[in-house]
Amino acid sequence: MSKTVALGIVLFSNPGSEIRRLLRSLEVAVLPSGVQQQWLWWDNSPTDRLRAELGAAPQPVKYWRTEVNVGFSIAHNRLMREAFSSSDCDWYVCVNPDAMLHPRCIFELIQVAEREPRPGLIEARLFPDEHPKPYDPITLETPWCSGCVLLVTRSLFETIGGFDENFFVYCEDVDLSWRARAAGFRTLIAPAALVHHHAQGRPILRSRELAVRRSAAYLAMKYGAADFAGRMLGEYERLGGPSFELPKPSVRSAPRGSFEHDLRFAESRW
Amino acid sequence: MVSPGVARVPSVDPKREGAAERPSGFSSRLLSVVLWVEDKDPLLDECLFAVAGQSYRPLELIVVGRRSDRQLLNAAVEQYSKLEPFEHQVLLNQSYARAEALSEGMAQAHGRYLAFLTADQVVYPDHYARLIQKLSELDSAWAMSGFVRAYLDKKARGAPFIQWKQEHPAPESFDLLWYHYNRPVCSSVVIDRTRVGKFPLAFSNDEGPIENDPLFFKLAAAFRPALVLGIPSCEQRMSRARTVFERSPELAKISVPQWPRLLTLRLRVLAAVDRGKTRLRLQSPFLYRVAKGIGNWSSRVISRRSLREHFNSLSRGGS
Repeated sequence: MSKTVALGIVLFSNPGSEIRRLLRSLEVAVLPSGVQQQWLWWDNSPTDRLRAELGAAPQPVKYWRTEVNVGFSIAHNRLMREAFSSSDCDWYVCVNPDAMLHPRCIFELIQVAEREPRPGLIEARLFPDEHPKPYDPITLETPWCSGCVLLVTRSLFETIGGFDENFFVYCEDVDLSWRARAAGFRTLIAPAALVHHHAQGRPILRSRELAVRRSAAYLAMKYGAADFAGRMLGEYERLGGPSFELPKPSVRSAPRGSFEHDLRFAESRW
Repeated sequence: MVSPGVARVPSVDPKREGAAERPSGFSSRLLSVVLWVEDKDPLLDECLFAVAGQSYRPLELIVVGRRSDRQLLNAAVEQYSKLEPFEHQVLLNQSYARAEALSEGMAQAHGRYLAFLTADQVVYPDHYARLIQKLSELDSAWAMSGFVRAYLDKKARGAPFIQWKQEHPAPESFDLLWYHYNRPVCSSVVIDRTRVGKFPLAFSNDEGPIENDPLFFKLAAAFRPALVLGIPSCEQRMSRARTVFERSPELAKISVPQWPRLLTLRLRVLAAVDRGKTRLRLQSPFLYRVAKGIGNWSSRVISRRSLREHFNSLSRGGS
């Protein structure tokens, strides 16, 4: 019986060139034998301009759009529910639209998912300037997994659900990783699964800086790190962000990672 | 009359030993990347993926080397060119010497802009775009960015595991001593071939690390580069055995008649110190910082004057 991997992509006013590049990389993607792929797209953009870009996709796509931007977490959760509603779907992979996947990226993610015991989340390795957070080159365990290209297993989704929807964007991947580890799942990296993603040289946008601090403050409140939350809210105010009320976390638990390393949430290899 | 978009190329003396035979005209915006490959290049796949992800176009990739698997390599390059299209050709010959292969690659290159790459290097997405942008703003013959040395751990299974990285940002003002001490990797350089005049773009027969080739030292001595400041944008993957001063270019190929014995000794000491520093950095970061401080201070004290004389002789046209 064939298995299915669902690739979920959340759009928000992306340049058409990004979508075309992603489509080209998905087109040449190699999959393990007996595995089929399904492409799910959620568009948070104010218009359906990007829908036309998907017309060039080499295989049928499922596309949803809402009038309002529901954010990263809610959109992926809806796509995950859609994907796992089909019994033959074993894995859901979050794919950032500004990424370009190595032809073997999905293959390697699935290989690790099938080989390792109790996998919950498996991230692709950011390339060429990879994230400095540590991972064990033998066991492949890492403190948290980036949501850029992230495989979510069905068993994890059925146990803890998807992302915490109080995160609009940013830090939701750190939270999901910590919850996965608390539930006994492993958070892993597939080092041979490369995703071309360039974050280091991006221009600094005020809106992004505000969103990061807002999410980091909520993450800290959720895990009882009041000092860190206060610092993030202070930086948010200094950047001139509009006032807002932090959502109340439904559950508070001890962090599985660290707030001592600023927004990296883990030690740095360099 | 020169047609629009095609630059006039200065003539080159074909009898000059090692000089690459140049095409009569360069495509005005085209970047030609000459990639040197050998058998058993485990990092080649990542290098090709990084080239495919470059934001700069038009781009042509010329793969030269002495591998035996032409068909496999052709297929790999063809596959990556589908991700973000670029022109490409593969020139393999098992009897190639490196200098000969690179010269052949340069002879086949059509681009006004010329860059070199080895299989153990990767370039970040905007690397070439930033370098060529800088060249278009200034009238320099070449541009240089900062670079990163990434040290690998061989324990990793299946994929390279980077233990730590050392960043070398480009300096705010160019200094040949900085160039000597930091040995920029070859991928940090882009040359504008319309601006080098009769300067011979020819590699030596040395098979050591490519960044130690006298070509780059001569280029640095002859022309002041356009510097791309900010975050380093290319990376050299270093195995434990490969250190910065693995082979000294001065000792290998640049022959200076009155070579000071003290400088020879200094280079040997530097090579040993560098190997030791790499080992220390991996085993004891604190001791590494101490060794680095002592090493930098002592080598500068010993060699500042003699190196200046050496580079001055190069800029006056010495070989």
